Amino acid sequence: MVTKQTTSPLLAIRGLITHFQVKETIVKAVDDVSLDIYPQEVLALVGETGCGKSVLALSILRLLPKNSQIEGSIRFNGVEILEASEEELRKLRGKEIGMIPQSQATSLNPLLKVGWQVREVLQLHKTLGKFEAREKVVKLFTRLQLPDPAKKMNYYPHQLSGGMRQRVLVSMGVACQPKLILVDEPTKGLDAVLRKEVVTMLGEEAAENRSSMLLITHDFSVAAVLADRIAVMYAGEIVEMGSAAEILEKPGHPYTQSLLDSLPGRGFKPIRGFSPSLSSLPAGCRFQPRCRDACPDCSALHPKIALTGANHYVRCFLC
Amino acid sequence: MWKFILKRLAATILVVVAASILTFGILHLTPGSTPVTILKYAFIGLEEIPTEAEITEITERYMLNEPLYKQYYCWLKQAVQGDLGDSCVYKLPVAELIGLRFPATVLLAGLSVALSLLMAIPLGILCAVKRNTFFDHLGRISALFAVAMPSFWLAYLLIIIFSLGFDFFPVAGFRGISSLVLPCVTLAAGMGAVTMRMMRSSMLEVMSQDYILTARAKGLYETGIISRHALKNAFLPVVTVVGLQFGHMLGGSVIVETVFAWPGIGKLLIDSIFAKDIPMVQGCVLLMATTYALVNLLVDLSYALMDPRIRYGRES
Amino acid sequence: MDAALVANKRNKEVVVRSVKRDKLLGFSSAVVLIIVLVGVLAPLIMPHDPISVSFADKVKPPSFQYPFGTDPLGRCVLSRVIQGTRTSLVAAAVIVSISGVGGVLVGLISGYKGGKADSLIMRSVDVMLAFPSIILAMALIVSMGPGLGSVIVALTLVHWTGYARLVRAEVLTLKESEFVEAARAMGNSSSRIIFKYILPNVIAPVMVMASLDIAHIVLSMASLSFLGLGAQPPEAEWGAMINQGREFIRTAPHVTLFPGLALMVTILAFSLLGDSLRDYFDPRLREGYIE
Repeated sequence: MVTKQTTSPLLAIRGLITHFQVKETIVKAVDDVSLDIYPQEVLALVGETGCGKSVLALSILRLLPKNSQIEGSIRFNGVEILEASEEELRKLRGKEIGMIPQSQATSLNPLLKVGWQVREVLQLHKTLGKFEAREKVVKLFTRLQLPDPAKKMNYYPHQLSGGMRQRVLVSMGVACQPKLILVDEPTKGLDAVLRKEVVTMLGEEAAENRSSMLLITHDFSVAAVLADRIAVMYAGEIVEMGSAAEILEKPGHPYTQSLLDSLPGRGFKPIRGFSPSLSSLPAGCRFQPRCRDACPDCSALHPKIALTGANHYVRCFLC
Repeated sequence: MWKFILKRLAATILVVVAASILTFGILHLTPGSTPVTILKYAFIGLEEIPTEAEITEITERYMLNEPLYKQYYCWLKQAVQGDLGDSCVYKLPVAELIGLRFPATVLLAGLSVALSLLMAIPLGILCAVKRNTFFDHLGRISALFAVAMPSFWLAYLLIIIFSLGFDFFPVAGFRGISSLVLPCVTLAAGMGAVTMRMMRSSMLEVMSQDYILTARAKGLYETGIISRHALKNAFLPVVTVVGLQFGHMLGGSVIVETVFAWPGIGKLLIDSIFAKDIPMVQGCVLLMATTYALVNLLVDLSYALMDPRIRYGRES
Repeated sequence: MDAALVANKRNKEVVVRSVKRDKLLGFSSAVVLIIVLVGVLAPLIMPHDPISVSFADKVKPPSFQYPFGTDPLGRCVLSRVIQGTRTSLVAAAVIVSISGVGGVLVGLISGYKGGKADSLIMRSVDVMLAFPSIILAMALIVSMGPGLGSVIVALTLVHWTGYARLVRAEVLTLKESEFVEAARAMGNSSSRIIFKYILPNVIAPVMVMASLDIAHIVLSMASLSFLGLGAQPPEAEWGAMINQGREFIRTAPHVTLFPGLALMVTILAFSLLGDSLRDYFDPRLREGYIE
């Protein structure tokens, strides 16, 4: 892997705040997030359901509902996404930034043939003709080990299995060899065998296209296989970020430790309590009500994220 | 696919059979259903005293001495062969008279369906796309009023405004294309409003689906997202509603044809009811129920053609 | 999409809808209440006798004495519109209560018992729903002879099917729910489970349907009366009144205008009430509900 810190980042997010205005209350789905993704790097964003990680991905594509407000800065390849026009954004989506959405069961249009749905993105951004685009789709399907690719092109989503639909979605996301791939919960709803295949496939695709990847998952085992670096998100904030090896071996934040301890192979201990609602966050450290090491300071002051080792950041008073 | 078609076909046949029983029952449901009561209720009036000759005639014509199932069997056998008996008023075969009037109703209903779809579908899509704007509110309020407005009253309002006020369109009868305008508008208004509301809510539902987000993430133009990804999905529930609406249209045609003196089967039905021309009433009801069943069969089949989930079963 | 995002989106819609819904619910129930009061108090608030004929006053335009004018037989149109409210509401109430209670019972039994009886009942409901309802009603009226009584019988026979189908579908889901399982485990009898545990849970959707149904019934009844199959002269009924005014639309549009307006307001009020009740009862739209 390249020494990333010497090159300039492909995606640089600074102080990103994504809020939803819901009548009088404000839902802070993403709160002051800063992160970089370097060329050809895989960054895994790990957190529980509802911590705001999908909103972060949608913020990068500016595909949020109308009642949202975004502040901060997202620079992609030198372009400020938060100031880009709708047309500039449209040209980025699918072409420069590919997205592989979660839930394979509902993310494909049920009335259109899957080959057509993949072809569409090629014809749009690569200005390929119908025939060339079709050839390309067959190649993609072959590479992704979709059995009988030429025939599968004419299938409708409901005729494919979950694993095959996931492959179709992957082929759609990587079709234009985007510089950045956003992958949202790629293993959701898949059984263990398929999960492994999909993870391997994603790694191969990123390498093949020399793409960077933002991998969103709640599953550390997926992150462990693919990620160069890991960012852990809790209640809209990044609480820890560092190299994958370091996070997995020497987790700094109590939340990361608890998450790792809850894995089946590492003790299987559940975290007590529930994630807070994003519209009524606890005072001080957001994890403090559930933290096993909480001290009086934790509920009074909100910790800042701080450097604790080589490129290892933690948001905790105790580290 | 074949299983679906066969199932729907069987259901349609069941409905047509039920329609024939109902039609047969129109005469035989009369209280008591003895020759005298049938004569009194259906033909000569409650105060009249039937003559011996009339009783003999009615008994013979409807085989009232035979058991009920036998009467039905004979009636059905003739009906299937297109023999619905003779009209008591015109003394001509019912099938022939209905054949003369049916095209006028088909023309009226067909044009009204076309007109209502032509209005409702673009308006419904537009209201959904421009959700919560002034245009949307206006569209929804007008639809609400159009649904609540009784067709016969709307017809008179239109007559007052257009035919009497401006003298644009003929008020009654059939005098060329312009005669069609007011009846069609009257019939289309209610149906169009229902279809429009359905189209709007269906479109909104589709636009919030995951696959629309996928399409957005591909960088498609908004028009492409709507035309290629949303519309087809949004049409599906609307197709079913259009089929059901056709039934209301048949009922509505009775009213509209009466108001505008349109020489269709609805007017024939009402005239026959008042003339106590029972064979004619039976013929009209049977035809209307059968037409409705067939239209719904067609609608279901076209639904199956539009939806690959029905066209091709799940592959396991 | 992230659960939080979905929740947020839904939450927003819930709040916006709940405000709109409460306003609409208040407004439509107020209008319905006024209509019902007019119907109940009809004999007290009618300025004239709605039946007595006075040829000296025929087709008079609206005036101080006759606010809505008079009809071709010199009867006060306002009084007849008020009397017509009573006619429509009483008939609709009879039809809705009989067909509603009957349909609910059939649906409860059909859904709870299942088996052959259920499929037989539902097959016949499907067949009945496959008819254009007004044609079905007309066929029934023909064999009974025209009149308001026939209309009531015919519409009752046509309308129970909707309730049966709705209630059956609700029962099928409720039957599997935990509280019914628990009630069964505790040894309650079938009839006790049906009436004590299931029935209270189907009341809300039935209320919604009944409200929408009243709008339908008022319209169907007026249509049939307009065609001459329903209310017979001299009865005051909106559809029949519009029919009586048809020859005078050129000279005296008020004779058709006012009963039509009353009809439209009534239909509008009951369908709005039904719509807003549906929003009110729909648990997914209830305030604060997040998955």
